[in-house]
Amino acid sequence: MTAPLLELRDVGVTYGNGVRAVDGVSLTLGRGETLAVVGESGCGKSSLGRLVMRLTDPTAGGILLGGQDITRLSRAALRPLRRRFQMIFQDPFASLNPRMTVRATLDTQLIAQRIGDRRERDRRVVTVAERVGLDAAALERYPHEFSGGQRQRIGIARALILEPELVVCDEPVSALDVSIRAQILNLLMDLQAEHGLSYLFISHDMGVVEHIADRVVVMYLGRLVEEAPAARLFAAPAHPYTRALLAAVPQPDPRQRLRFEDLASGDVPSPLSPPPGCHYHPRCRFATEICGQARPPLAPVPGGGQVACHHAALIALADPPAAPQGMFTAAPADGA
Amino acid sequence: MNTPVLAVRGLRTSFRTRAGELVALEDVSFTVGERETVALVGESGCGKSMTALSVMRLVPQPGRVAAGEVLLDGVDLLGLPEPAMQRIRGDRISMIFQEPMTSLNPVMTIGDQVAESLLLHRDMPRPAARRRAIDLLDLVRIADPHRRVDDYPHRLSGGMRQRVMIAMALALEPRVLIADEPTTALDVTIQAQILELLRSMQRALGMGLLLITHDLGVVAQLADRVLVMYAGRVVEQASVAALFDRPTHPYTRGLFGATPARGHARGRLREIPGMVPSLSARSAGCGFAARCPLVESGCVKTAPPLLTQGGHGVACQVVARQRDGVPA
Repeated sequence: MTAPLLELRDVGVTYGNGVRAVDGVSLTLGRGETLAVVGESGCGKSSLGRLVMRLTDPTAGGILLGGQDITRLSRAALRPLRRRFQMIFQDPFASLNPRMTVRATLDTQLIAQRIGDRRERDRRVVTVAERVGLDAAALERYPHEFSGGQRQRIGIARALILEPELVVCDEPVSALDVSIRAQILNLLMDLQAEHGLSYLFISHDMGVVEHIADRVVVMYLGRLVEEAPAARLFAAPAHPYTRALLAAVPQPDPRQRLRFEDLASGDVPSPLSPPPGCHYHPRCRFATEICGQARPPLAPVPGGGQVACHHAALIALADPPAAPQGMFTAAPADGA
Repeated sequence: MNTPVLAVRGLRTSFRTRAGELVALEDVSFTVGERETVALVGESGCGKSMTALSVMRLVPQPGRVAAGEVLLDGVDLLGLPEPAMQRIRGDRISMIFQEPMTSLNPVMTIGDQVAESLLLHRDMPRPAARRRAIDLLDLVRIADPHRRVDDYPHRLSGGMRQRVMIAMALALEPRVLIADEPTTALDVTIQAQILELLRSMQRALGMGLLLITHDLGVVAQLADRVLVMYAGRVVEQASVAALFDRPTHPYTRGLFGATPARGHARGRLREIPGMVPSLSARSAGCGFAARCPLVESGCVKTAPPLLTQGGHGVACQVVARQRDGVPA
């Protein structure tokens, strides 16, 4: 068995203010696979993406790319590896140099990696631009001349021109309108099929994730609380937080109105002082004494994946997740 | 069928520019009844927010409402002098926005902000206004309102700020609340709480709710009726059940196809090619013609009227012909 393309071993990031943005996360990503990282603001999913890109240095644990430990590699030593892993950002405008034409933006990537002579680079620039749906005239224009969707195509072209194996996508469609979002998601899926790309797909949008992911990890206040094949996660979420997350998504169907008893109560606590034990316990309707005392370990779940919950087995037995239906039933308990 | 509290008829809003008059809204008509939630749906630039601003008479310069009526309990707001409009705004019709942080005053306590409209519009003495503010914070389910009333906005989470915005908007028990993307900036578990709060507040106060959103999920949760807008016009109008059962306008169908839904198999989403035309690129014909799979030569000549059959209105000449049973 070959090494997975990406492996995180118990990685952590603690920022200067004491916030443990990522707290002991382990995961693997196979070749050609899409692994989604989901969770709400402050759960650490973007920090995790930056960590994989080595834009943030881990304060604990290890990062392996194709079996090679890159945790402590210097910037110089990382540079030749950069072409193997690239990133797409939520706001392509903020991530594009406003003074560079699209052609220069793409060409710079090749020059930095010392790829090809001038003719070869030109050929690659034109090919990748065409593939992502930018016409030839677009190459001579500047980022501000494009719409949000077109800018995201530029961002994708910039990541793709180096023919990477891994692309970290940080909320790539969150800023886009529905019809444009569909165009970009389709493009990402097509490119994956053509090039065998692996995606680490960071998103807060469960609808998008269900559509694109093979596997999903759910994060809450820096910790991985559940990991599962997408089909199992959406059919039978094991962690109470995953259940709350799925239950809260308003479905485009007037007959499936939200079931408030499944919703999380209150707000996400401050990452500066997360609750002891299981971070989720103050919002959890299944919490008991132990939940406030001990951090639950990850344990296997029937049907695939793993969950960090003291009561997962009991909850699955006693309270199977129902098909979403019914009207607004009860007001949510709200300790905000 | 109850009488509408808000009736908008033939609204036309335009901007005077050097390039000529740019029309942002054309012939927008709808009503909102008591206890009724009407959703305006569409993508950026379709005219949803401009409709709300036109109703509130807050269209930014050099824009203006060029034609139409906005009747609030039968009184045309467009004909009122500005001081009279100021008395109505925030009192009988009020509005909440997407970004609660930028809409709150950072150097005023939330209690003072909630109480402000009571002092201004009701001449309430300060101690009474403060007590009422605490009641309102409690009503929108802010825990420990006696203590929170003296907090500044930066001390609150995004969800709590939106609760404060709702408390401010509801302080004078308006007849109509306009909510412009009220949950778009919020996390999904908080969004669900705010949606439920809006619904229960609406029931308690019996007000009409005009909900502006791009999210079909939010529409399905809250709306009684839906207007789909595209390029400044209403292209489809129906009850929420009818719209979700039988989305009929090609744009509405495109929106549904492009939205990932739960339980659907993986695979390509249906795309709508191209993008929403800019204000200056709009033509005389159907605004959707350039992206429409059903487009015919007649579509680019004149904008089709909204034709209603059994309460379901669609502005599309191809659909109209199919409904009449005339073969294509």
